[in-house]
Amino acid sequence: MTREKRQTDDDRRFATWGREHGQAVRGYILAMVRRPDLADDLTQEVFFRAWQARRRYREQGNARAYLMRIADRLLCDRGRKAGREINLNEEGWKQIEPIGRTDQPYENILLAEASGELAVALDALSPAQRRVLLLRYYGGLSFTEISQTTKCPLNTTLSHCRRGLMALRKLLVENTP
Amino acid sequence: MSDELSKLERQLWQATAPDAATDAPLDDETALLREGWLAFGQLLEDARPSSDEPFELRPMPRRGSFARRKLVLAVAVAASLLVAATLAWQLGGSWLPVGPLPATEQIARPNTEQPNSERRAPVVEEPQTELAADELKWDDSLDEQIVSIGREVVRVQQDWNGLGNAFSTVDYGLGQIEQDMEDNTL
Repeated sequence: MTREKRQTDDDRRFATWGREHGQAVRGYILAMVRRPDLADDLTQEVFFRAWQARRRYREQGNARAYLMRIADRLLCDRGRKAGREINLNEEGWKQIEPIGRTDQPYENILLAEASGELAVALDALSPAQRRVLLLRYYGGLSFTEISQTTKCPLNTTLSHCRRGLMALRKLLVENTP
Repeated sequence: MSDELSKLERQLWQATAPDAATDAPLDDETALLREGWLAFGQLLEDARPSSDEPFELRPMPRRGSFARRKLVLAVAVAASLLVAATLAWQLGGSWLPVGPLPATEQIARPNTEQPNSERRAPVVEEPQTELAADELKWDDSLDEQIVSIGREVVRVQQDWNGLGNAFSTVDYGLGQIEQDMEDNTL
């Protein structure tokens, strides 16, 4: 295979990945970090890392799981370095936060409300439960794949998932008037 | 894998399956778990802004650009080393320690005052032609000039050092005054 041909194939594959999995990867990262600007940057970083490792990638029909694993590893790395970052309090964040992603005020209000409810739901979960459920939701990973990604035994992974779902049900279904 | 574990996995698989994949009837516990999952999924969808837009990827770096950057970096490093080596070679003379004058004289004296010393002996003993011997003959006037220039250079360097010392003295004095002002002794 010539270099140009390989380059074209890589470009095409990454364009497809961005189109098909970009939102899912970003959604996972956003739910974990809860900052849109940071989620955008980290999503770009995920694709950049995948691009760097593209020669080692073997097509197995589950690109989303592959990207999710990279995203998860990136978030773990970031978690280790989190102490070096400056975290804004609520007031500070309001001052620099973009007004809204859409130019329709009503949509922005709904979005803000949904984001608030989501934040409450995510806070009801432990970090491990959150990780398992979000990998399952956005990545569509099997529980075996999730346990491999999180380096956690399968029975522990299943336990996190079950307890997380029970907590969510209690919060979102039972407590809803 | 134990039966219990595989049963739990199957149950959770059904509870968290995408909408289209759950046609089979669910037992009570799985149905409860599924309610939680669907509510969570709805919340995630509601909180997602402009879900129709695909994520915009930045263009990935070209394959050659990294190699080219490495090459440019290597050339820059090599050029810097070359410049540094040239400078070191050219300034090598000025890096000699500024020693006392007799050191210079010791170099010059054997050639001027002791023409038959060991330094010149090999030249004389070499089987040379008459012309070559004349060319290698020591030129005393030139030697004197070199020695005098050397002395001047050393003197200038010493003057400069002296000037530096003077500046240091002034600097020290100013520092003292500042210290005194801070201590309110003035």
